[in-house]
Amino acid sequence: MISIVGCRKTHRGDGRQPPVPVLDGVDLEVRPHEFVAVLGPSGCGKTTLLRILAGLEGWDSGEVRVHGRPVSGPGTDRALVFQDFALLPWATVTDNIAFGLELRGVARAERTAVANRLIDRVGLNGFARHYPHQLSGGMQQRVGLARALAVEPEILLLDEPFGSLDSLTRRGLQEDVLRLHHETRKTVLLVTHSVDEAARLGDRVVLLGPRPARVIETIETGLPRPRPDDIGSDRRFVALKEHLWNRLKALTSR
Amino acid sequence: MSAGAGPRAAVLRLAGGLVIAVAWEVAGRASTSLLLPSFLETMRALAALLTGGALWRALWASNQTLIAGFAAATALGIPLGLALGRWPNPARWADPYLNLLLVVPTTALVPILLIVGGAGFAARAAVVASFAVPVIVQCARAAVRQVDPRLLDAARAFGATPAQQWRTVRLPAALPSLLVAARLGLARAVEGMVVVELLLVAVGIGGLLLDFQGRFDAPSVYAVMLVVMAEAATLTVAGRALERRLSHVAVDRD
Amino acid sequence: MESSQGADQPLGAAAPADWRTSLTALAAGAVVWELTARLSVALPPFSVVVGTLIELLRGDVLLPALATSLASLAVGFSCAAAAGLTLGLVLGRSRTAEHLSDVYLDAVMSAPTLIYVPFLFALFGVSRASQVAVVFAYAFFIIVTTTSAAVKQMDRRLIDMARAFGATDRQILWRVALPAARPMVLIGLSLGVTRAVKGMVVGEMVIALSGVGALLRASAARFDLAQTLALLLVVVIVSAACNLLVGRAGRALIDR
Ligand SMILES: Nc1ncnc2c1ncn2[C@@H]1O[C@H](COP(=O)(O)OP(=O)(O)O)[C@@H](O)[C@H]1O
Ligand SMILES: [Mg+2]
Repeated sequence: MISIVGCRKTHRGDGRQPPVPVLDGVDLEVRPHEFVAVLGPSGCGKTTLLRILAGLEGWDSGEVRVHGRPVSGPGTDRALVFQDFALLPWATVTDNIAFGLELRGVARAERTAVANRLIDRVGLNGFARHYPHQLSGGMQQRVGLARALAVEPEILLLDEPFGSLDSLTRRGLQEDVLRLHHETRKTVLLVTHSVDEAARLGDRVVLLGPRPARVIETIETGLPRPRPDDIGSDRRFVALKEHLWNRLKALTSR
Repeated sequence: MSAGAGPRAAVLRLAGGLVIAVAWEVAGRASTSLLLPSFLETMRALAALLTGGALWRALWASNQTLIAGFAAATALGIPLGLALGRWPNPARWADPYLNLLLVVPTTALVPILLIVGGAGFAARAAVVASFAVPVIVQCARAAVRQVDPRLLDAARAFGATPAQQWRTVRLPAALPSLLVAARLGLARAVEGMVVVELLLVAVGIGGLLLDFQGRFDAPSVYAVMLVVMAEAATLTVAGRALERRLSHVAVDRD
Repeated sequence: MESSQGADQPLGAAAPADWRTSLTALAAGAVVWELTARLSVALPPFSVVVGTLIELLRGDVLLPALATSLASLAVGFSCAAAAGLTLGLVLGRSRTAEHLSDVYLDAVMSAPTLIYVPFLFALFGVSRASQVAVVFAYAFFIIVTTTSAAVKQMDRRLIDMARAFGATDRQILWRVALPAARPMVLIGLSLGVTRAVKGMVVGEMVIALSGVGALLRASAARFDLAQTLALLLVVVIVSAACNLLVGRAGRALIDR
């Protein structure tokens, strides 16, 4: 589904800043219907990797393919969920969710119908006509999620989607995403700096080193699907977290 | 639009100036109008003005009015604005009048001021002040309103008297915005000075302008215009520099 | 960029106080005016000024003058808005264009617009065209700078988001860039129209050829305070009406 081989990228500075090497030969394979969590310390290049996959920026060398075709720009088969939500402040919840459809020229009635279904699905009933600033952070990210789902992508790209939420809200949304993945069998690529989140959500965890990023280790979590609610006390889960923690600590304490 | 940003920007700025000068020169030469001198003619006239004594005498005469008017405007406007900001409830009654003063062309009020006050130095200074007062009041008022209420709470919690609250919290917190008030007021005062000179009593710069106009000495008219522009620009730049030096909080409103 | 032109509405104008307080305050002011004027002789009472205004409206001087003024205003401001929005968009998007012009725009803007009137005379002579040009000069620069600032401050992340969802350049301009810039562009237009009204009056006062400004100057020269104040009332009403109109029109134009 997604296949990245030896991807390198250097952010060229604009004259005053020096160039920043971010990706140093990243290899990553994501199979259909798989949920892959990419774990890496802050600033290691996770967002850059997702933006390359979303077709928002190019890369210097290596291969980045989706469905076997090199990525050449944004495509309807992928949808990105942003860490800072990136909602249109002047548009209602309905219009924000329908944004991708509007761009594709879908008629208003149909867009609204899709948006209403998704509002129901992500639990925003009664907020259809609200504006982003009237919503809590968690609700805003539900809108971001619904907006991505509305265009019916095969691949969901999640860029630390819950990073700025409080822990309770975060847990709720994580469970929603798990349920969603289970129901729709969409391919999901999530990047995060949270060990707990990576272990809790991923079928596989891909560990990136500090900038410039390279894949340090790939771990099949082997945890059951659907994840039980008490996964937190599962011995394998605890051991996995412990392992990831130690690797991360070793990587960043240099 | 901030200055700075590398050698490329500097080259572009020079190029922009060159384009203006050349376009001016070409237009001046092509035009048969006596009223549109070429760039070089204007520069020669400017050099003559700067080396002669008349310009400096005129500038001094005009600027006396400016200084007196601006000083009066600050002395009146800042305390008034502070008071309005501190007591917003009674201040609501002043709102329509303040808005009115900001919207009405002050120039149109000038004849009335002169009918009432005559055309002496004090009256001219009063006109200058009347240009500057509304904006100073408005800014000073905003400055007090913007003071972080938590800082005031903290001061109160430590038992600060009202006078101490002003000295330790309100005034220091409002200082950067007060400097903005002064700078904007100064710009308006310069406008007032020009209005007095051009429309009413031509004592300094205005006298010079009318004199050159009467003699159809267009290059000198333009040279005087450039001098006024230079003075205004210098005052603005100096004001901004002062703001940057004196404000411990970085306020970048540009 | 801030300068004499931005001075009209600093740090966000006074809070739009509730209109009932405002009306009461204005009515109270009128009463105070009336009473003080009846006690002293220097100032004509409010009722006399209103009477003069009604008389002026009945006569055949004010209305033609007002029509002339409004025509200059409409032409001057429309040109300033069209040219200002376009140039502002260009300066906001192109670093090169910005650096080519910023120093000079800054210098031109920091001096009072009135100082350029002799130059406009040179180009257009003592004519209606000069009066239109003064209106243009008063409104143009503030529209340029607010528009370019609005475009520059635009949230890059929203544009990225739109691109990720497959928006074309055209769609980005209409569905993201313009709505995002809208609040500031509208502020620029409303500052612009306030300044345009000032330019209209000032230009007519200086050129003294036609329009409300010329009437103002003439009545002040006659020391006719009642008529001067009545004409000022007209200016205030025109200014308020223009602000309302431009607000409406701007919203309708940019909202899609
Ligand atoms: N457009 C850019 N130009 C220059 N440097 C950039 C740019 N985008 C990101 N960077 C730098 O690249 C590094 C990786 O950024 P990012 O991919 O956002 O990391 P992460 O998402 O893992 O926190 C950071 O050090 C960041 O400062
Ligand atoms: Mg990131």
